[in-house]
Amino acid sequence: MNSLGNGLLREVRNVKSIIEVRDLRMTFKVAKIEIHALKGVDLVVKPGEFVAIMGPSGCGKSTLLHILGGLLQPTYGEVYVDGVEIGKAADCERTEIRRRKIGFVFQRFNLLPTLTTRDNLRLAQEIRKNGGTSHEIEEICAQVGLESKLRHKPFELSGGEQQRLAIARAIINRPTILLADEPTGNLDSTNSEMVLTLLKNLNEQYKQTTIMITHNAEVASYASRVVEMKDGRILNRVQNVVYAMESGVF
Amino acid sequence: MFRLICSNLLQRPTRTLVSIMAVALGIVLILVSVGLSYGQLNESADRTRRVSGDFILQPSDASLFFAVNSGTMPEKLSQVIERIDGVERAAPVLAKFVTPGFNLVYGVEAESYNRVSGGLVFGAGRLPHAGFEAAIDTLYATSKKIHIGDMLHLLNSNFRVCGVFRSGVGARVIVPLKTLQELNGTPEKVSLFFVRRQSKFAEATVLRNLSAGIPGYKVTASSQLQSLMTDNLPIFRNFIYAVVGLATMISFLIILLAMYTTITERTREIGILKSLGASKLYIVNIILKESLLICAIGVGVGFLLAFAVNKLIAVTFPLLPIEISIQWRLLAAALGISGGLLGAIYPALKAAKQDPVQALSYE
Repeated sequence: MNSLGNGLLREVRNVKSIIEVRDLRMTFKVAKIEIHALKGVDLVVKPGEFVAIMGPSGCGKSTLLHILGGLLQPTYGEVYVDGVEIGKAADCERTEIRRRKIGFVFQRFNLLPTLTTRDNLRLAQEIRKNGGTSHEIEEICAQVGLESKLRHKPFELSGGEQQRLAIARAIINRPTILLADEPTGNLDSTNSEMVLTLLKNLNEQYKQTTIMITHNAEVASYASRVVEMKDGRILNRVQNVVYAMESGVF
Repeated sequence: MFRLICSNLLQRPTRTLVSIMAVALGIVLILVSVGLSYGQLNESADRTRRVSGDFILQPSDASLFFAVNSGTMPEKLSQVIERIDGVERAAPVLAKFVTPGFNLVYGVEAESYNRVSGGLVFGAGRLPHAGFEAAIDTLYATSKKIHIGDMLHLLNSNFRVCGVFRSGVGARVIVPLKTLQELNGTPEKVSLFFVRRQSKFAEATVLRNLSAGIPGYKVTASSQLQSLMTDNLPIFRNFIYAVVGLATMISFLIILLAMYTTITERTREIGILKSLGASKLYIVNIILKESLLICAIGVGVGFLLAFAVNKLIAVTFPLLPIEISIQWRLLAAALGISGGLLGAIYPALKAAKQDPVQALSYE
């Protein structure tokens, strides 16, 4: 299965994929004990795809997401994001890719608590240095239903509103890839549905590739494709590649 | 970024205020210490220069701070000095430091002192001639509320005030030379001579003649007095350096501590910024600008406080002159800011180096 997978992956390197991961391994050392979080992950994602990576806690899905977002450097393997190998890239290069191509949504929202909704969004624009305007901020807030909360600080927003603000911040710079790490993990069912619908709509509207981490099958059902992980490996690895090719992606 | 910086500073108002006050304290320390030191020194040098004619003659090991010299020169040396080519007049002076009030008292001969100094300007009265008479300057008279005819208790004796002269020339209190010699236990001895040259002789020529004519004594041109007193005194320089160093260290350490605590508290925020694509430089910039803002406000507050302290000193101790040059103001501001910025560098670099994943999971 490994040789088949690698062969397919070598083939798809010649076609356009937005994310390509080959034999990705990640080992952490904790108190001289080696923990193998990823044990040879292969993954291909087409542009505009909405992929859910599903698996139990500790299976390595968050580690995979952090590597895809350039927050972590893998121990071994290749990671191509929009044609750029970020696995071996220097910290500054990964930062640049993160700034230009990637938006993050976290389970714990990770908003800056001292800033208002408007200023949280403005900060994202400023870091991107894309010359974003106040109009864009208002527009995106209207899109996520926060047009009346522009002057509110995160602690004045409900959990669902905070996550919608986090999504707005992630997409305000129109990233190529949106990475969401358990985006509904801290939300009730109503807010979860609202956030997932928003992610799905944004994916359809902007055609940005979305990769969502979840351990919940119902949440994963919002994605166009589900990749299952267990013990640092993708379970249906070959099927996923075959699926991607058969569905006319490549 | 500015909003983020401001909101961070407002988030911890007490810490921000303490940091600002620490920088301000450094500024006050510099401005008040330097102001008092230079004020005292320059005013003293200025007053001495105005009275001293053209030269000051002292024993070779004597200090330009007359207060620390005792009477060791024979008074009759004035006759030798006046025989030297180019010398018009020499005035023997016994300088005595009086501890209550930290004042310098001159014992002088009225006639020679008047000739050398060009004549003091008296609002009322005259120079003391003999016995227990004293002339005081206007500032001393005002601060002590003393008038002509009043008694002045000095050196365990009572002096009757016989004149009030315009301040800014020589010592604030002048008594007869013989009287001070007796009280000091040094009859016919003086601390120094003020020497006036004849106008047709060049300063350099008379200086050379004096040095050659009275070997073993130190001759200082009055024109050089100020710079010699301020620039060539190692103790004074060391004191100023110590104060400046201390003030800079205060800014440095307080900002270091404040920023170090800040970045530890804001580890998660740094992780968030990194996840948004903020570069190391961006994070360093935030921390440095934050400390720059604290320092800038601290410098402003420091200037205001120093102004208030100096005013208070001027009112409470009118005999203590304070002089703060624009160069020292600029230097104090630069030191306050640079000390703070240096203190912020390590926390800023530490913040920039933080692992984003660990930072994001920080509780």
